[in-house]
Amino acid sequence: MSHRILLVDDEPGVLNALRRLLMLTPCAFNGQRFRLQVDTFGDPAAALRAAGHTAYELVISDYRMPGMDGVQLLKGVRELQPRAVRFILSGYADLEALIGAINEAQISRFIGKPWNDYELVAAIAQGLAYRALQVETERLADERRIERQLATPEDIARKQLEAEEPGITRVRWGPDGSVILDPDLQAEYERMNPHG
Amino acid sequence: MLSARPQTRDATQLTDFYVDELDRPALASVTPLRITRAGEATTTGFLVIEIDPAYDLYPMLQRGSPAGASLETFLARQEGSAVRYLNPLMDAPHALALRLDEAAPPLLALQAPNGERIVEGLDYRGVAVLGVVRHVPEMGWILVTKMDLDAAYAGARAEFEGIAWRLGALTALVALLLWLAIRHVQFQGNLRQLTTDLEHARVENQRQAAAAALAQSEARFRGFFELAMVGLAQTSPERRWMEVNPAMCDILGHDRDTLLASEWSSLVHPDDIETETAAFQDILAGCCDDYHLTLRFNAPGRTVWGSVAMRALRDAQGRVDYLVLIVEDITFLKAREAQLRRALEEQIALNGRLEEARHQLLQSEKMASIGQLAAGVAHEINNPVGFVGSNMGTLGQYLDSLLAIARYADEHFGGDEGLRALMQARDFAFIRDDAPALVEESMEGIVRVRKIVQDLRDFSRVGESDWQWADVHRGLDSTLNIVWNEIKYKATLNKEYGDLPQIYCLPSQLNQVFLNLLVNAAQSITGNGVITVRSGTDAEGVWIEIQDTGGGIAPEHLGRLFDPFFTTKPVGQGTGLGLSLAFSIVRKHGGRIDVDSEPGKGSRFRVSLPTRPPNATPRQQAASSQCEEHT
Repeated sequence: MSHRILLVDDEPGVLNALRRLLMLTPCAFNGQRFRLQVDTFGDPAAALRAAGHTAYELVISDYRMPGMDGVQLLKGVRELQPRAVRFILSGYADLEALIGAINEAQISRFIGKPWNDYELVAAIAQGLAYRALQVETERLADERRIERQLATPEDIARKQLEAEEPGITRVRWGPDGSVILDPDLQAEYERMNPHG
Repeated sequence: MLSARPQTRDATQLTDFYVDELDRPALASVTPLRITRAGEATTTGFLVIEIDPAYDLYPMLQRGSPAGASLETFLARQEGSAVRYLNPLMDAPHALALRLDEAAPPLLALQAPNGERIVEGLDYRGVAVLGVVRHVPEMGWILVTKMDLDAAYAGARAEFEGIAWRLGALTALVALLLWLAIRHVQFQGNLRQLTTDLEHARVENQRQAAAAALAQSEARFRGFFELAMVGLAQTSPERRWMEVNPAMCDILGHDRDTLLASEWSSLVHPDDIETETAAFQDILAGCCDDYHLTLRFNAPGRTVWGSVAMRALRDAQGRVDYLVLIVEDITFLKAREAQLRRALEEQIALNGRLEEARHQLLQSEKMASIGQLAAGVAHEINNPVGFVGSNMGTLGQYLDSLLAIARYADEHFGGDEGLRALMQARDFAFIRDDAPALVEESMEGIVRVRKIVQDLRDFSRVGESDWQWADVHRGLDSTLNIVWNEIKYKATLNKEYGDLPQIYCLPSQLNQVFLNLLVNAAQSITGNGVITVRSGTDAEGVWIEIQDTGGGIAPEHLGRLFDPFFTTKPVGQGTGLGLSLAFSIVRKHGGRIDVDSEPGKGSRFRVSLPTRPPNATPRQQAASSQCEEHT
């Protein structure tokens, strides 16, 4: 099982370097090794859209980006996928950015640029391990809730489904009454057939 | 009535005139009648014959008189103080009854009692008369014939007048000539006298006018002297007061008698006595007559500023006779002047401080801009540095892989001609050995770039604007990194760091201090030199020393080293604010900067800082942080 992570930075060099790094460097924590599947976005808006339908275990974003800064992006991601671990990787570190990142986006790490490869990879592994633990804890809690009839198995199932496939529990209706399965494909379709 | 007088003789006797029963004068002749017997005669009676003068006497009196209206003859007798006339007079018909008092005009004839005389006098009418007087024997009567003097001289006068006139005329002429001669002589004399008198009078007039004018002038000048608001005085060449006016007494605070008993230089303030004496010597030596001075005087209880004008008045030999002095009290002017000067000095000091503050602000503004710029640049550099660094690591791993593959190929397919040729052509052996080194060196380069950017951020410390506990060495190192370009071609750097505790400070401001000292050190070195950075601790806190082997500082510049705008650098190269800024920062930290310099050998700046500034209160921290934000 691979772990899907999202990288967002307006600097393609950074994205490429990180992709190379994460593909090459073994990502392990406490003997647990994580195989990573890395998605990269140069545009934060596109990244947020992706987060609407793709489940990511971990999101790393730059702070200063055109259109949307890292805090706004991660705040959106948090709403969509509360369990996704959120990092900011930035060369710019003013107090305002830090406060926003912690209070609003509730990030778990702030990593300065230029980064140290090993530290970064270790932080990712640690974040993933922590998340796994959290998911496990939550699952156990849900089981207890079912036992104590605080939640129905349907609720739990929906929650798990939503976690694995964000948006799957919600139906997207098209203007013509059709059901839209993939918003990206829909957008592409509309672009190709502007009047249809 | 008949008076019977004893008769001793036998002769006939006449009685005196008497007034008869008819109230007329009468006279009797008495003749005794005697009988002689036996020789003795006996009187038997008297024969009395009364004689009426009107018949017997008066015609006789009038007889023989020349005709003339004024001729008159009468008998008169003095009786006591009156005169009795016997016969009727022309103007008084009642003779004998007539008695004229002596108060009446005297009858001059009476003045000649004896004999017959011609007299001149006034008669009973008071008319001047010429008369003949004869005394009647035994009877006491006098016979007077008189005529008016005018009538008597009438004829003679006519003739006499002619002669008299001529004589008179002649006499008058002679007298006139004489008089004229005398007069002429007298006139000459008088004229001379007159001229002299006139001259005297004129001189006298002039003298009097002059005296009057003098008196008036003196009164006027006395008025000026006594009423003047400025002190007026007259002094001797020995500087003794000769006269002072009330204003002078007021100014100097002594009464007139005290002043006149003293020397005026005794009142001059000791600091001004030299000036005053010099002026006096000049005057006495004849260099000049007038002097204007500003002197202080010691009045009781206060010092009086006086504007003094003096003039020497000299005698004919040019020696100073006396001096006149005018002293005006300008104490209040001086006070005002002093006030103004103080205000001006304060103004200048204030302006200086303002200017200094402005420049410091400008400097901090500059630093703030540099800091922001550095932060922005750092951010921009951090991106490429980040991925280049990361890529280099990846590249190293790739290289490992590639070399592993190559090694394997070399080992297992070394006989392949094509491979061997390619390896030789591409110098595989060198690449294999060099590539890791290349990657390693590049990594090092990236690390250095990271460090520089880090230092730049540390130095500017954007966002770190508060007082904090910081490591001085770290700040020193990052500053050294920044100025390394300035230093490295000129000097070798010796670091002799001691063991320092953290101190409570504004790190970026201290960095500014180090920067200024290091830049100065580097600039002072002309050829090749050594810059030594030392640090250590002492009782007061920590110290940092920056020593160079440069040109040193001239002794005369040492005192002004920390003055704002003091610079020895050429125009445009230094603002003269570096050390001033450093000084104010260090002072803000409660520390100090000591300078030790020897021209030609170099300088040593020692910054001493307390571990915790005594005045770093929270409030000041806030103030400092505000200031800091821009640096």
